[in-house]
Amino acid sequence: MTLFGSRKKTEAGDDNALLARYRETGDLALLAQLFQNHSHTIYYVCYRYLQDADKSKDAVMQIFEELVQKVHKHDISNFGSWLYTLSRNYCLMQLRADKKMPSSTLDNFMELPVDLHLDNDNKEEQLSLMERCLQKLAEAQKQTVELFFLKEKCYKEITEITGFTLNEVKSYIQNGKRNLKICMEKNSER
Amino acid sequence: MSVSKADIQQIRRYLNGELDARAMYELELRAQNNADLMDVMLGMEAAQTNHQPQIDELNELIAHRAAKDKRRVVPMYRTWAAAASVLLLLGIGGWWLSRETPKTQLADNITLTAPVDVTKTDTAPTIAKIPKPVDDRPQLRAAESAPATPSEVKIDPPSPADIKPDASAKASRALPADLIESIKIDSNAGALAKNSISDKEKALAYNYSSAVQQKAAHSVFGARTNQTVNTKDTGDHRVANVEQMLQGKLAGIAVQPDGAIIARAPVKIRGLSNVKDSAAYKTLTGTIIDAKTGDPLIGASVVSASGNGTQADINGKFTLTVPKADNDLTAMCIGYSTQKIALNNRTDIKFALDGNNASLSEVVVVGYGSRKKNRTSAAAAATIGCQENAKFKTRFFDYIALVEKYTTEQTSGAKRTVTDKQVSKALKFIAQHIAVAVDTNIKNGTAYADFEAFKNDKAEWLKWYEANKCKNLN
Repeated sequence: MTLFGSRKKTEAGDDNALLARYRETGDLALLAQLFQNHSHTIYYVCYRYLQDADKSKDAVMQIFEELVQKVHKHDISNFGSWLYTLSRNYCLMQLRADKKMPSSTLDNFMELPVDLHLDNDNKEEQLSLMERCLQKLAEAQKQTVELFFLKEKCYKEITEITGFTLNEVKSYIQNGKRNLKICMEKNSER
Repeated sequence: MSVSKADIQQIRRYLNGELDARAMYELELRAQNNADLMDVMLGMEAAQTNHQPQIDELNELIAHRAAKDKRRVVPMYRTWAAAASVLLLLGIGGWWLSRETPKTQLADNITLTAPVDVTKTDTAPTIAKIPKPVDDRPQLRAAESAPATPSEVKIDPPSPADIKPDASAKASRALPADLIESIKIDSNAGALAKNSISDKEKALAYNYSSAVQQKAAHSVFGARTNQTVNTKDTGDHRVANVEQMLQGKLAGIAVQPDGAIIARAPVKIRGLSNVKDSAAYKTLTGTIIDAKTGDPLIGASVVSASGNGTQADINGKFTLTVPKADNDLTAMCIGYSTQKIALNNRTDIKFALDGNNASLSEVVVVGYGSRKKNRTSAAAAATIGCQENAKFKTRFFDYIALVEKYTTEQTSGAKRTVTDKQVSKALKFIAQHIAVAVDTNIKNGTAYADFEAFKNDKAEWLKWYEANKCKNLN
């Protein structure tokens, strides 16, 4: 993992360098190169929402146009995540415009992870809170969350163990996570 | 939180089942914490095959797009510099032009020599004292090429020889004297008068140098006196000169050897009937209407075989001038089928166009290319493509209205205007088409038990109509 980690860091560094150079010179080729480094990501993200190769390609080109406009207005610290958010918003707007938002995608929407600032002092308390919340979950969700996060099993293994389908496993994990988060927030407010 | 190319490869392997459980778990865990990665995974999963060719194409397009846009990278100061230099040039030009006016003041010259000229009887020296015009003026050359023309204005002594007999010469001699006198009286006014002429001349011959302009002005002065071109009287002397100056420059003007100016055949301008010679053209009139409704089609186009065309006015009428030889006339309008007819010596034509519900495919224009989008709209198929029978519709709805009126009168006890016979007829018509139980033989002034019952039936009838209106009812 460290290999991945360090590689990512250098890539992020490259991104920022390219971005800075673009800001200085205004040379669109630099921005194009920067974008090309991420075009595969954007393409697949768009594909995930739009489910069509042509539409995804169109979307990527449109996102590039938007990028050209917006890169001057915003202060970007992390180009990759900013670009990802931009793409996601664009694709969601597209879906809304097409009025073809199938209900299934709602379930699969990944909630962007919110930083639950774990107080290191209260870690013990947090952990016990989590235990309690975990117990409150629905059975299937509890099982899958435990297997995944605590027992560190991959989806495939979980399907084998529990007998749920792959989609069910994913769904349970997602919902379980969300419910846990709600539960913990509610309880930490007390 | 960004996805690298290595990640993509890892995902590819994950989807192909090449990873072991541990690696799979790790990827999944990362995806749980990284929405970007999760979306990419889902996208790749949905894509099933490797979409690398698409991505490569995209990268190419992006490179193209960036290259195409390189011209935008021109720093702004260049455009500003260009704009500034243009303005500067304009300023210089304007200033230079404004310097012209003082030079054309001939007042000084004239008044200086005027006293001397008045005493002399020969106009030639008069004119000769004024700076000689340069011989390279085209209008003079044109004149010179025709020795017989009296419009020739040579300022050398020989020119008086070309001047017509004494009487006119005397008169002409007298003329400049008078003029000069009047100029002398008030040099300022004269200067102005002189300037006004020269200004007009300037306007006509703007491309000459200032010196020539002076002389041109003066030649006009001289031309006034000497010229007897076959134009109208004094007023048009300048006009004739203008035409000479324009000779060769304007299509349609030719100067004959004898100085006669003829107009060549006018430039053919389509659609301007007043320019056309009536001998070779004929005027067509007519109307364009909708074949079904009889409404005039405003703005429908009418074109002849020769390419002359016009549009129908607010009443659907048109007037068109076409060459006599034309025999075809085509009328077209958006939403209607084009109609072409043979004139066969008719000059009043009536077009009745049929509606044509051709559907256009939607074109999606993207900045770097364009694609056609085929999509049939269900709504369009149901409503646009449907041709309701207007007659049936009016009858049907009229009858329904009649029954409604009857029932209202019946239930409210109001004065009866609809008779039993009428309502029976209406109900019979309705029953012919709709299989709904209704008494069609009304005798006692009561068709429905109450208004509610009628309303229910009416709803049924309307529903039936909506469902069946496209079926060409009658």
